[in-house]
Amino acid sequence: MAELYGNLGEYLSFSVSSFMKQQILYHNNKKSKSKSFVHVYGRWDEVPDDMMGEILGRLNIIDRIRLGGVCKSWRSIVKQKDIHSAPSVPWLLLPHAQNCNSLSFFSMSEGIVHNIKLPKAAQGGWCFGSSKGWLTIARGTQDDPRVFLLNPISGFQRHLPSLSTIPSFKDFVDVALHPNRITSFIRKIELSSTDLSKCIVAATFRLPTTEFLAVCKVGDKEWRVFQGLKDKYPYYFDVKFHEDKLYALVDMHMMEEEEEGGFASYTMELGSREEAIVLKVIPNISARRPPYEVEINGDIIILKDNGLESHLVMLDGELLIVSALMNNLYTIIFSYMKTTKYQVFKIGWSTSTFTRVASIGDKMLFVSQSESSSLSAPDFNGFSGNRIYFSKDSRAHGLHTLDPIVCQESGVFYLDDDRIERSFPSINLPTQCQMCWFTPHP
Amino acid sequence: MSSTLCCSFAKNVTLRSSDGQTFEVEEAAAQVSQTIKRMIEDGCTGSVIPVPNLTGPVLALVIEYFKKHSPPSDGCPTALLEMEIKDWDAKFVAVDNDTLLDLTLAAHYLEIQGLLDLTCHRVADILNDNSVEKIREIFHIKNDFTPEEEAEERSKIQWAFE
Repeated sequence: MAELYGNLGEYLSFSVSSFMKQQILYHNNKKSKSKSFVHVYGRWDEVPDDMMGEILGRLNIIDRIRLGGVCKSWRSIVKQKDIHSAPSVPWLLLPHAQNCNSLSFFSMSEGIVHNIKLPKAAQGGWCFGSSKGWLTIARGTQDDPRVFLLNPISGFQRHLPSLSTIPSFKDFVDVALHPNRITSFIRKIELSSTDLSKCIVAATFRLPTTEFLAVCKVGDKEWRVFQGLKDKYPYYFDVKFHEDKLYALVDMHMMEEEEEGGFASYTMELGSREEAIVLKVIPNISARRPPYEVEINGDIIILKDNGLESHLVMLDGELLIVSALMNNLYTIIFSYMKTTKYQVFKIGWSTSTFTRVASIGDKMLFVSQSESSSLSAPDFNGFSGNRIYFSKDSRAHGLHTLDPIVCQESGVFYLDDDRIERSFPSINLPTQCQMCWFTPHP
Repeated sequence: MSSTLCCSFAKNVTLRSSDGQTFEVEEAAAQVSQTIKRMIEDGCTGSVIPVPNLTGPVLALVIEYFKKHSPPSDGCPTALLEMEIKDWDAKFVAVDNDTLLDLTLAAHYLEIQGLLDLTCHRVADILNDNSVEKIREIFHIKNDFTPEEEAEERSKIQWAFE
């Protein structure tokens, strides 16, 4: 155990907290059990494809990939995208250096770190998020940035439209001073499907004083910006696809002028294919909260629960709002955020109301800025429900430097007793290094 | 409230394997298989139902499964009964790999979802717990990669083996 534990600690220079230790311990106990099987002749290389599908559906992605090495017929079966794998606990994409040749993922259910080599064409870029099993990677110069999607499991990649097709991109690059202008410009990229042939891509982009929303299809030449929303909705907490619609979580006070009876919606055409996407705007209930209290602790000034980060998360076919409240801590050198609690809300669509959810039962949520999902804990050995596994990048600024820095936290929030256990404390890294959940698929 | 007293004889059907062996089984039990259920509904009950994809010994095993899983006469399975069936299931699939394959194919062909779940789960467990080399040995699969192909394949997915 010490070895594995050391692996991750060495990688991130932190000590693994008890919830991660449990996973590692569990996994090692499982491994040490030796089993033996009677050797009998079989006809297993000729098993019908659909029956292999039944079996593969019960295996996780790693075992599935290993099986491709057994024989040629199995290799072709494991690569079939229409055969689903058993649901797996998302991996945590670990911080990486710019221009690296491989990416590292921490797999909690196995208690190990996977290092996956990037294909040549993807080396030298930096990964700034993930969605539906695809990593979003930016590469190239500030003047000619290329953004693409990469499946690190299959090595498959597809380009997204050039950022230069967005008129305000040039203005942003010209004005912004810090070196990581591209990844600062893109706030989030969200896919509607793992299957890129029918996938719609939504992205929120950041300007100095406002944000805006754009969409495209994979293979399109340009981004299509939702016009006329910049004044109304200057900030997007999150965007998510659900049942053919795009949902955006926006600031509450912007919604006061909205009429009664449902949330605002907008339609945007998608190119010449006579397709359209409907955008529904949800006001973030968590943004309505009392003014913060100030606490002074030695040299540190703390603005209590001043920070807010919210996500739209799918649970049992329903969209939830999951919000993190954070203390904003100021020191002479820099400021940073520290998560204090999570809140979960259900959305009442017909009444435009929100209900606080005290417990999510045996479900677990995985939230990060770029990818959020939910799973049933009983499906996974060693995991328990009513917990939120989080990975968070909060923007903060060094007070004597222009470079924005990212405070990265990860850990688990226990809804039972509002307790937080951190796998490692808030650390400061350059903005292009994001940590996020990643759900691998073949 | 009306109640039906059912004292009629349980209706039987006859199944015939690929090698010509015949087995008699209660109709209700045989309907655990969706394939047989459809045949019965289509009016095949009068004669013998052929099961050409299964040999006698395998069909005999499948009939054992039918009997254990036929719907209880009072309609509501108790928790105790469910536990007993679960234990029985576990023992039922603790067989050699050749028989395991036969049972999986039979469950697939006869559309017996419960049995298919059981056998696929067992196969998945075996695949989970063993190395590629061991899997080839257990299931007697020929490695049809050349050493160069295997090395190349392995280098692409090296991370999954670490």
